[in-house]
Amino acid sequence: MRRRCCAGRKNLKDMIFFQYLAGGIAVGMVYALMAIGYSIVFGILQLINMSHSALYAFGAQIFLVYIGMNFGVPGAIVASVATTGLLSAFIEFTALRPLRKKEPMPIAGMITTMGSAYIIQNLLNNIFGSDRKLFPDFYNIPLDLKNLPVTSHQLVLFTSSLLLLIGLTLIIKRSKLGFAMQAVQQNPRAAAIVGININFVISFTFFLSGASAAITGVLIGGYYQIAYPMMGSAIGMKAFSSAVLGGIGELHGAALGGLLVGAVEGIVTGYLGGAYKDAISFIILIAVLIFKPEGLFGKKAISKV
Amino acid sequence: MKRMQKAMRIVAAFVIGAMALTGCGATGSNTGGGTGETPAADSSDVSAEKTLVKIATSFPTTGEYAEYGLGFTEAVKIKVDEANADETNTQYTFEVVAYDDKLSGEESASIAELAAHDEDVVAVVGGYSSAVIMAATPVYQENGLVCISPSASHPDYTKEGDYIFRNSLLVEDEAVAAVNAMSEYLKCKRIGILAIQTEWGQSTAVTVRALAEAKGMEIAAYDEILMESDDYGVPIAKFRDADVDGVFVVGISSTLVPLAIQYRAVDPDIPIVSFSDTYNPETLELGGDSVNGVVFPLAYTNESENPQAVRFRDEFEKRLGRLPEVVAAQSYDAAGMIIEAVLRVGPDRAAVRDYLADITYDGAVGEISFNEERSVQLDLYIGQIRDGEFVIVE
Repeated sequence: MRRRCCAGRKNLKDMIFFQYLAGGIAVGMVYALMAIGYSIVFGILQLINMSHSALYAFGAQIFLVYIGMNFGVPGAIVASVATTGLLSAFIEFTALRPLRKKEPMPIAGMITTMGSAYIIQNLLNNIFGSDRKLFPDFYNIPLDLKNLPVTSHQLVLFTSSLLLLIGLTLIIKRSKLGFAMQAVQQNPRAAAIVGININFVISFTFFLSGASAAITGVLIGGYYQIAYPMMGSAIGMKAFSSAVLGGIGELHGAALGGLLVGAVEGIVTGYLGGAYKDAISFIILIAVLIFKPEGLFGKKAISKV
Repeated sequence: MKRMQKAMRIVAAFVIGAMALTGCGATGSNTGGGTGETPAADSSDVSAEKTLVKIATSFPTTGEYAEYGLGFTEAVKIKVDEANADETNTQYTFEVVAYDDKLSGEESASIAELAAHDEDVVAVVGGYSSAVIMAATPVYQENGLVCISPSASHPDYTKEGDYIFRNSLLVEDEAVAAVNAMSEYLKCKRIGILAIQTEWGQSTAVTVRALAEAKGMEIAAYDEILMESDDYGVPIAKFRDADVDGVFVVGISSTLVPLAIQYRAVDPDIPIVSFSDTYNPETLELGGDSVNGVVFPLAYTNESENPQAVRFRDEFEKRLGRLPEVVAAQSYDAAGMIIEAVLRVGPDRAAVRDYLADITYDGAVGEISFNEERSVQLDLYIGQIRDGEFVIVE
């Protein structure tokens, strides 16, 4: 007699392991979205953009402003993306471009972006107040998910993350501007010689990064239904670590790194408790880097002599 | 000749610089370990009949909890302004020196040093976080400067010495009321406890656990969460797997609200209990329908008809555009007690301390007096959120 498949087993939704995994992946998507933003700038410019988490908070806050101005959700998203992208490009133009001309130490750029992050957070606190604000639940789509241990919010978040990743990858790998970005990444001087406007390409890279920060901020704000000026600081370091884990500079690596960190965090904290949440993320990172310093999907740097 | 000219320029620069520094020093300003928001009044502005008396505040007025800290500071200012406007007060001009502790123990201790060495400061109202203010209490005690915390609920807070007071509820008192409500009002039997991952959260969770077990409730699940966390998916999964019939949140409203939103999305009827910080306009604004049914203990409500409470609430709302939280009312009362002490016994720090130890004060939260541990005994209500409003149920 043929045995019925899965007889006696519970639904996925009922199995605690899958619930922890689903919860962890949900957080992982937050890390993944932010990690993509870090990777865009690092991949082209070899610069760690520490203002990314502040831009993420800015994107969420400015979305609320546009909603208050009756732009509607689609209009507010577009306006928020444009505004945050322009702010990111402005930071590059005013703080990083002058620095670049002087050929400073590599760390100077990172410190500058760190300072920019504090300035943005301070401005957000002073203008909008430090308290938490209600964020519209604008993608609560009623879906009958039967026995799946996920919510409709999480599905939308996952789909959006995937679309963002695909969109950015297409821009960088397939568009003319993307080719210019790759040229700048490979050899800025040679790129300049062949007529590529280096400054414009770099500004556009920051615009893209800022735009992705805004998309992330709006998606995550809608997921948790709360926004506040410091919302980026808690997850910024985790997201950056996820990008390094996945191979900073590789967009798909950053995304997968984020999902991996989130998933492992979810399972470990589920069984061992929340006390180990931060430790586990960095244990994973250190372990991966010991065996694969370029990250899971990163490419080894080749230096020619 | 050129050397002479250069030397003359250098001398001139020094002279101008010295004159400028002298000019700045004359105006005076209060800056330091935190940000002094209120510059000290020039003593010459105080009329000959009135002595300047300062009350320092130490709250987080920047950063994530700035809205709270600014509210508590304003509450103290409201009381000070009342005292200055009181025609029966002919001796003292009161002034607030506001410091920003940035929710940091190091800043708090630094502020304590500044306040202790300012001879015009007669007492301090401060400490939103127990851990932060407890970094400063040794300095206050050593320098004989009263510190009243309107918020510190850690049991060890007043143990530093006899200059350390609190007019907030002890966490044990709140926990007893909350656990009783969970057992008797909500009829919970198997509960989950979610605590913020701080020293206060972890020690309070131990207290809650012991009280709950003493009431015959089973602790079916326990988890900790970082204060800044927004995602509660994993603890919610754990609690649901343990089949809890109630959740106790050991944290403030910024922990309670996202937990309630996310938990009620998967289990709309789960009973939730937390502490008095729930009584906060932000809880209703952000939580919406998700926080309906949440139960909490409290000692103060904005519906109080106590004249002090009405006067305070109206002025607070006029200045800040929102209703005050419990801690704001307690900050107001802390300032009121200090002012009364000064009016009765003068601005001597030791005399103020002795007066406060025996005070019986009619404040916005009711009648206040300190026990031998320098904590207050307050009548507690049990509140619940119903249809988007706070109601008293017991």
